[in-house]
Amino acid sequence: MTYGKQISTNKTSAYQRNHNVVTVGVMKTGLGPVSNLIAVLLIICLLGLLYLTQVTKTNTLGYTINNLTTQQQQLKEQYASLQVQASRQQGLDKIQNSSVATAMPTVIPTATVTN
Amino acid sequence: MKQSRTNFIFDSSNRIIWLKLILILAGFILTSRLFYLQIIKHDYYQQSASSEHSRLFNPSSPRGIIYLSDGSGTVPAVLNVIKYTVIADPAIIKNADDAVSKLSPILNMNPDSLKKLLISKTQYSVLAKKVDQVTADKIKSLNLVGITLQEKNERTYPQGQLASQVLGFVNDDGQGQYGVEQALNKDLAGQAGEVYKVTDVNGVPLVLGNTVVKQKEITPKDVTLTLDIAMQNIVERALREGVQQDGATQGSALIMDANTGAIKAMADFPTYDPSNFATVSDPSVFSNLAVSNAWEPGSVMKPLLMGAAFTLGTASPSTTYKDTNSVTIDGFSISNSINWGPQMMSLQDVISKSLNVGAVFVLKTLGATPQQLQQADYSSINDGPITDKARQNFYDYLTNHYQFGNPTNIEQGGESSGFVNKPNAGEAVDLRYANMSFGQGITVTPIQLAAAYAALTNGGTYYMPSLVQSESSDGNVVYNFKPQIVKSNVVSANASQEVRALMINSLNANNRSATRAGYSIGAKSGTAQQADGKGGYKTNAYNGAYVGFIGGDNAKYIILVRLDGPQTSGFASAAAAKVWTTISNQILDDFPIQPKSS
Repeated sequence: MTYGKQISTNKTSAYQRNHNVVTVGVMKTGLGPVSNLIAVLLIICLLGLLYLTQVTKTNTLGYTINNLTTQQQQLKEQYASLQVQASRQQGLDKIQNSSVATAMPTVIPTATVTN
Repeated sequence: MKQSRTNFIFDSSNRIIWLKLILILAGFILTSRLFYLQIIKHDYYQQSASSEHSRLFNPSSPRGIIYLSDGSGTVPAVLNVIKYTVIADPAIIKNADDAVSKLSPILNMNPDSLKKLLISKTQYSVLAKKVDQVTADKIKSLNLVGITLQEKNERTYPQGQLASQVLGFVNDDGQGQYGVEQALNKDLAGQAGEVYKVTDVNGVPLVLGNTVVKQKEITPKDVTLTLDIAMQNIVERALREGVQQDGATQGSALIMDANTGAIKAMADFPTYDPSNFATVSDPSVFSNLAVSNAWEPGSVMKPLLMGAAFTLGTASPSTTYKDTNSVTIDGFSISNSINWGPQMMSLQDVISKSLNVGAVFVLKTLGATPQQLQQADYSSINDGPITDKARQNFYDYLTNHYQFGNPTNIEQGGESSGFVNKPNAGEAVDLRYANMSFGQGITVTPIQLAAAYAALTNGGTYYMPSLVQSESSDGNVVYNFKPQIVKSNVVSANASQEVRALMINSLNANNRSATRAGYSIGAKSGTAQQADGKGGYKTNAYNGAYVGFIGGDNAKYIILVRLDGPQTSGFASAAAAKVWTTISNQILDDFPIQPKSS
């Protein structure tokens, strides 16, 4: 809300001496209907812009999430593949047939410990 | 009259009425059409609109991993690996010769046969299956038009053939076949989800788009088995050597925890490679003999009969009877496998010397009157018939106490129930029951027999045999093994102790190489004629079995070995006993088993 000052002359009291001929009054003023409409349209545009910015930003994040999900999937597959390789290396057959195992001397127990 | 009608139509005031009517009619037609499109055909158009910007996603995870126990840890036994199918669309391949020259060395295929596939008059031609990642990457890098790669998760077995019959395999349709894969297919496979998401033109889901979950994904569960990898290896090696050395047609062996029912090892021979199951010519090797193949166990039935008699109080370890080497039942003569001559025999002799006549005598005691049991020499029982009460009592012990004739519900596909003759069914029922007392004319699976022996030797508690130690989903344990008691007081604690003593003495008398100072080790052998499938038995074809326990003050593990048709001199059970002894000694060497306190 804005206020304006208006100077007015009171003709009936102008003849009286020692009296102010000028009065100061405060009057309520506002924007006209066109201005209001423009202001509302501007606000709507601003909000729309804000919404579009946020939607674009969120969707961009969506693509990032999608890429990360793909990466996660690839890492899972890589992990599974490495797990298979590690398990194969530790397989009993692999160990039994390894050069280290075949080079080991056979030990025959010579006595049994009894208690 | 005609004049006035024309005037009525073209009269200016009436034309307004007509216009109104036409507008109302047009409005009605439009409203009706809108009603039809928006209300009646609502679902159709909504679906049609959704399909333009929504896509169906099927979130799914690879099949659950199967682990074996390794002490307190685990070792993967079944994992997943991505394999590719190389597919060609000959309709869009422009230069087949170029594709052949590039693909044939990578796929290791004959160029002529590859070219035939690439120029065939079809739009879908499979060039190769089960292609590994490295080869697939090479093909991808060629960027050949009309060649695509289809991804598929396949099972892989890092431990090779170890426990293959217990594990089973997964067929091309993704269904578990045989073993744990079949029994726990639902848990291992899970269920793919069904989710509709709004996507962009490239099919990338939009975060702000509406997501409709029609079916939530059920994550597959990883399963850890109770099988101990080291015990499994010991059992498989001993069984393989036993079958091959003694020329048996097939064999089966297992180790069960006598006090929980957990299976620590379970093996069959011959076996197969589950990663190449499609190349197996004889599908019978897929079955787990220990669970799916019921057989006549022979004299290993005798300790179970003793357990029933001791619990009912109709006989005791001190009971003696006159053994005349043969007994006639229903006009048929039943005799001992070795003629010891007519003499007084104890029930220890019945076990140690595996006396069939003695088993028939113990069966007769199950129906004895108190007056008959008062006699010092049990002659009226020994000379008397097998009564209806004796058959009823034996049947009750076999089916309700030892649970024969019922599946154990172990987590394996294709379990057999075995067969127990009813006490009053059919002809020559006395002869049938006399045969059953020494393990002929009754069929049981090795797992049923092991579970019954566990109950017989652990004090009388029958535990449900189990192969699953735990199940987990997304790293969270959702199931942990707890021993499940199927029946208590299968035999009395006293009877259990007495039968254990009989088995220990039998092992000491017959199989010295299996004894170990400081430990309780007892076993019983069984040799049975092979059924010919026509109601009779084959001549000179026998199955051997050896079942027993190892432990300290109490039975810790039940070990069972079954060999079918070993080509050894003497009893078939001797071949099984050799395998049993190898397993028993190695388990005692390698695993911490509490010795006897005194």
